[in-house]
Amino acid sequence: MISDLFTTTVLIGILTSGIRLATPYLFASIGEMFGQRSGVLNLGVEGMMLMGAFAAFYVTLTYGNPWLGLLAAVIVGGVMGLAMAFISVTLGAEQGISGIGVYLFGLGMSDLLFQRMLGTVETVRGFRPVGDFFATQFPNLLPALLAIPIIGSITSILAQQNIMVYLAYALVPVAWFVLYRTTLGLKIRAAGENPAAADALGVSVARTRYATVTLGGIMAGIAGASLSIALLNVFQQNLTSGLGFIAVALVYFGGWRPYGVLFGALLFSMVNALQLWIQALNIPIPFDASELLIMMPYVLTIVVLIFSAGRVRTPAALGTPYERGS
Amino acid sequence: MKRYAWLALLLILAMAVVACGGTPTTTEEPTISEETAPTEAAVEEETPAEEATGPFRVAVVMPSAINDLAFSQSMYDALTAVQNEMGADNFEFAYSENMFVVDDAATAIRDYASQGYDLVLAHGSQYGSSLQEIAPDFPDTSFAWGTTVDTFGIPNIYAYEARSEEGGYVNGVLAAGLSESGILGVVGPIETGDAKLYVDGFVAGAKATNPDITVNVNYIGSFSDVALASEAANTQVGAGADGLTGTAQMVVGAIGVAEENGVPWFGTQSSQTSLAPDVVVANQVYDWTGILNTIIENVKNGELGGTSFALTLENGGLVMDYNPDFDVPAEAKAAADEAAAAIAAGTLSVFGGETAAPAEEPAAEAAPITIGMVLVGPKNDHGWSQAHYEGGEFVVENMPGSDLIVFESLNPADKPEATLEGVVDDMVAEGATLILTTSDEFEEDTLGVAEKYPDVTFVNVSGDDALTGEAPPNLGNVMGRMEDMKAIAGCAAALATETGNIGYLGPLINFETRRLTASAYLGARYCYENYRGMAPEDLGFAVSWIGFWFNIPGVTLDPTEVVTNFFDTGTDVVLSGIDTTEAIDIAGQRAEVGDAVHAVPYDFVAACDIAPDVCLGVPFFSWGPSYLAMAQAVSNGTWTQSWDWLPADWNNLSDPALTNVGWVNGPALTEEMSASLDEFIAGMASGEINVWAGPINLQDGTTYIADGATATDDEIWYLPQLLEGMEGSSE
Amino acid sequence: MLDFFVKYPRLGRLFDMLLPLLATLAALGVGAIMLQLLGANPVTAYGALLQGAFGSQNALADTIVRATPLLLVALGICIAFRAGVINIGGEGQLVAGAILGTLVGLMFPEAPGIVIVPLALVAGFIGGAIWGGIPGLLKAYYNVNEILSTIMLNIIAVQGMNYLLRQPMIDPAQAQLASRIPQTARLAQAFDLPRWIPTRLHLGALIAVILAFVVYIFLWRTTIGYRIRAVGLNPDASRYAGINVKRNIVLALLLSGAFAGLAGAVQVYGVHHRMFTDGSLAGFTGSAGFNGIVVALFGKLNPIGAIPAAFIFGALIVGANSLQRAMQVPAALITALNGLVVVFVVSSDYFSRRLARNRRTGAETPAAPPKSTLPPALSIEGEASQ
Repeated sequence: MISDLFTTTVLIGILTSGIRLATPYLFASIGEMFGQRSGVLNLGVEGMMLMGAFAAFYVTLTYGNPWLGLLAAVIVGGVMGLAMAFISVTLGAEQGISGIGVYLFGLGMSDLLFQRMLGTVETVRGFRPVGDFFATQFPNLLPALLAIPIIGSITSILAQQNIMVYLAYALVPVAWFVLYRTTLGLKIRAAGENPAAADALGVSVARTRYATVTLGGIMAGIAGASLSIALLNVFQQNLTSGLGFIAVALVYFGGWRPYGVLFGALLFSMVNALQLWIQALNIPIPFDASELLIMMPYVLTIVVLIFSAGRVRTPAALGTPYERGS
Repeated sequence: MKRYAWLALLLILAMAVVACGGTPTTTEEPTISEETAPTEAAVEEETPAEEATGPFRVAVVMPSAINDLAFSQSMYDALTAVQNEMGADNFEFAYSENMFVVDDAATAIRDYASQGYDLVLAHGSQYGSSLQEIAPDFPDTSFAWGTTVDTFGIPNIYAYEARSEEGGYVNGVLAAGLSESGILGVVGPIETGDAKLYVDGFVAGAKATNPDITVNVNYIGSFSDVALASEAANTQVGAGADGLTGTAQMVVGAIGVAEENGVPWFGTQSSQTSLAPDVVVANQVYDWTGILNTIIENVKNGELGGTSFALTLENGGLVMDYNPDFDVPAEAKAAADEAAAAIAAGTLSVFGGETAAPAEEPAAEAAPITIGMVLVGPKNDHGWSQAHYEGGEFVVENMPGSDLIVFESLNPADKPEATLEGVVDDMVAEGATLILTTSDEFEEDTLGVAEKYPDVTFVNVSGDDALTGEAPPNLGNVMGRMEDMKAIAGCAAALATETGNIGYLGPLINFETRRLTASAYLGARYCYENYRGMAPEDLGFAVSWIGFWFNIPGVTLDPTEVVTNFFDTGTDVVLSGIDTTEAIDIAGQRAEVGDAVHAVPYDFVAACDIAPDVCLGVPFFSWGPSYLAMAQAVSNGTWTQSWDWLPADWNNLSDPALTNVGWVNGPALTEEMSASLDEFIAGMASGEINVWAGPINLQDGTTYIADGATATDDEIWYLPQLLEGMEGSSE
Repeated sequence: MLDFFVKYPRLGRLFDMLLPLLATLAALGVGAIMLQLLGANPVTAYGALLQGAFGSQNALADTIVRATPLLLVALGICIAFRAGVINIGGEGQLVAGAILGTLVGLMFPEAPGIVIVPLALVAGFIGGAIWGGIPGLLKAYYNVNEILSTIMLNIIAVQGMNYLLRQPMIDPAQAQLASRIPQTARLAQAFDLPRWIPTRLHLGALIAVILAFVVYIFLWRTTIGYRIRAVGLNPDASRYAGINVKRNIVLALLLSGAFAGLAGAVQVYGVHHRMFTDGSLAGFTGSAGFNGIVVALFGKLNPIGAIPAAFIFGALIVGANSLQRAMQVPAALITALNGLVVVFVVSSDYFSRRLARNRRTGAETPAAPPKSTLPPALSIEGEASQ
């Protein structure tokens, strides 16, 4: 029954799932957004996520510390980002295509490393839900909070998430601040809107783009880590399975604004959570086609954009290499 | 800036070095050395003669990675096991993994074949059409593909499948036994193939154990999206599931969720215990080694294909692997073991019916057709012909819009002027595309009309032309395995007789009637000895043949007289083997005047209604399910010739909608008799009792089935004489 | 080194033309190191690659068969990129075309092949056009970025395909079985595209090559083609010149999708003779929708150039798989190597541009951005937002 959806359990479930599903998108999309804002389209996010996911997984498995794993993901993602920057900024290569190349490289290389260094699917003890921490440190706190009607529901949602989820959401206002309230943000926007003018004003377009693309790589690496050592705690060939491409799409959806990206990631993930719940509750589907449900987040993303994309403007120099005359 | 970029490139290259040079932790590394590099071997190995002496060479093309903990790994592990068994000198194998692009797979299959591999495995159902095209080009190479049952009728293709619904069922029984919330969750990829079978089996097992249980299924639309699979599992847990399962390689994400929440997990394909040792309860593990060994043996003997194999619980291809660290409550474990044993013994069918597909779905899809049905007697004879007629009606009900054209009483007595050919001419003219000739009397004439109308499908009931190869491709045969029911009938008679003399009202003498009569005798002898505690030699069993399927005055003996004669000469139970109801008619009349007599009618499920007080039960035919399957196949253009000897559905023995042949207990059975009879039936169902077990001697005293042996299908079907201990003529 | 080519312009042009090839070789050089480290002799390995791609009549035919959908997709990509729109929805468009094309064959199993096959190819063209036209309309009239919409439409297409093949279009024989393999019935043999017996080479390859010339003429010899290119070069100027920019964007994406759709129909009628799914896009498409983009870039967005580019890329794919078989190296290495080739080739354009700039010796420092093989307006939008 459709009405089964409107119970507290289900609504809390959808919120919890949606928040969790959005996490990798947030990291990857915010990183990608900085790159695009400075004028570089990076379609290689997926490959960088895979490399980051493997690095984090391997290090966590070996040393037992997820923070070390996260650091490994940062380094590997950063290196991949730096390489992408070299290709797209210094060599001025066509960005969309080189991104596909980087994606394929990451897809193959992470699998190769996985096969040579691990050989089989294993699980790892990564970041735990924060509720576990509070439950051990303050054993009386959680039960008390959970007993209160509305606060209890909110607590339940929050306690089920791990630290990476909190990091992802904390990132959004930080990204907004950097982009709109700092000189660096101004430089980034200038490099993406009018690189020649920015150059004339003494902004190093190349340096700025190097910085944003490398940052994008780092964030993609973290996004991968959020899967392999926080949400899934497992690594497998092609673990991300297209997530990185959705992350790129969400940057467009969000109109290159941090809060827009947040809205897009949440919308997409909530609808995805909703469709999972509709199936799990045995609610009848037209034509018995679960595929119709699975399509929902993708269709809805487009539909919402049709009604909202009116005033969004692409960074003018996006995709165009810039080289000052020498 | 550039300096850092170069550094980045260097680092990436360093990673590449690590990737390629790092020591793998896998224990078994496939032979990478160039000695086994197929390109070189191929050039040398042109003559097949050399192949016979060299190692047996297998190549496999797989859609995912060899370490996917699922489908591909199960085959890779099996090949490794076969290699360990046979020795690397005698067995080599090469593989192509991640061949999810069907184009690539096709090239690989063709390439392996042209390199002279003895056996090429296409390990993915999506490779079928490629294989269908490639195999005929390499008639000396054997191919196998799965998971499917379809060999395309090509002589050098084997097919293999995993009956994953079997282990799914067992997992379902276990899960339902463990569940306290009454909710179970399933995470599947796409509702097709192996995944669908497993999930459907799981649901069936859970529901069979606890009809009130809720099984929620999430199909996530992908074989690779680990994140979505994980979130689907979270959703299931949120929806109250306290038992989770799932299939395909992306479920590793769901297993993590199960572990996190302490929810029991039920695995399939490979053992997943290592991923979550705390929560994995049991795994259905695919073990292809048996099938591989069989195929290899066949190929060595020059038999390159044409057969399809299945992993089942029975043949050990499916293994229930329990996690020793998970404490399963004894009761749930016992129920699961029982289910597994029953499935293996063939007494429990996962989906209830004979065919695995749910009956209603294809029925809705098949287009209506016109069916012709030729009956030997009247359609309301309460016997043989009525059973067929009702089967035809069953088809029309389930394929709305279909027409049934019936021609009754085609026999020399009732309609001397009519011929089968003339009847069929009319039916074809009326548009019939499936014509059922429902008697072995029509066997020869059906052969003629089938040749005359090659575009019309003919099915002759109880004939064997399709078995002997005489039939053209548009003619098939069907018969129900009535022998088992006749044994039950005989048993009922033995339980009821006070005089120790049983009479059998036989029609004419042929293989069919001989084996049915003999089955009745064997059932009677078994029960007389085991439940009545009498000496089997003391049992009298007389057969009286009237000469045809029913009374034709002046031509046959009069069945009324025959039955009367039985009752007058000390026989107190008469079994009917003819199409009409004289046996129970007369028994009813005798009972009314106070005689202690009983009868067992035949053919028609409701035959006991004629005289309930003397009726011990009735073995009946139910043609509906098999006729429906034929009609659908004809409608869809998928009908192929076969000779079907359809068994009973032992779980639904008295339900004509589900079983092909059945038995209904009659009102005349006492409670004590019923109990013994039910015990006998249960023994037959589980395979513990086989009345056709030796020693069995023919009427002339020669040994037919030796002590310790059991009769094969052929030996039963082609029984040459009645058996020792039976009175009556054999020829 | 570049100065040398500036001095000898003919050699310079040759170098320019051979750059993608040289880059490929350089990438394979890196691959050689990796192969060596994996314990496989690179010489033997690349020998197997060449053998697998060109070594026999059959190998060559396989290469061409594999190149055919790449070329068709690339033709569409040429049109789209020339108009300044990025179409990464080739995968979904290919599937849409394949489904519509298959439907035609399934609906008229008795009809003569000479009627059905052209009809089916046209249906494929239309199917792809619809799936490509949607992002076109969305971009032109609703300002929905085509990268976003094509990514989403790819996934919508795969789910739609799974549903259709699982339910309404399923092979009736499979519908009878419990396992229900998601594929249609085999199309009538009369509909098979003619083949170059005994190989698998089919007529589709010839169709693709002819169409390459048609697209070339379309882009450079017709008014519509000129307008599409003009929109790609400078949308603002085009608007002032009276060109309907929106309509041309829709047209470009529509045509781009149509060629991908045709590739899908050609795959069905030339190779598979039925539609099937393994649940993903790549199983059926072989990633031709993505690789076609790379091929178009290899060919410098010129339809004629795409012909050899598709051939080389097809050879790379077929040969690499053969390498996997011969040396039993992990498939992952092949994927990584594929990525390296793409990165190297696309980066090699750097030298091409440097050469072009060095050639303009004596010219004052150019203030404009460097000349790229791509239209400068690529991925610039905004014209729809006024």
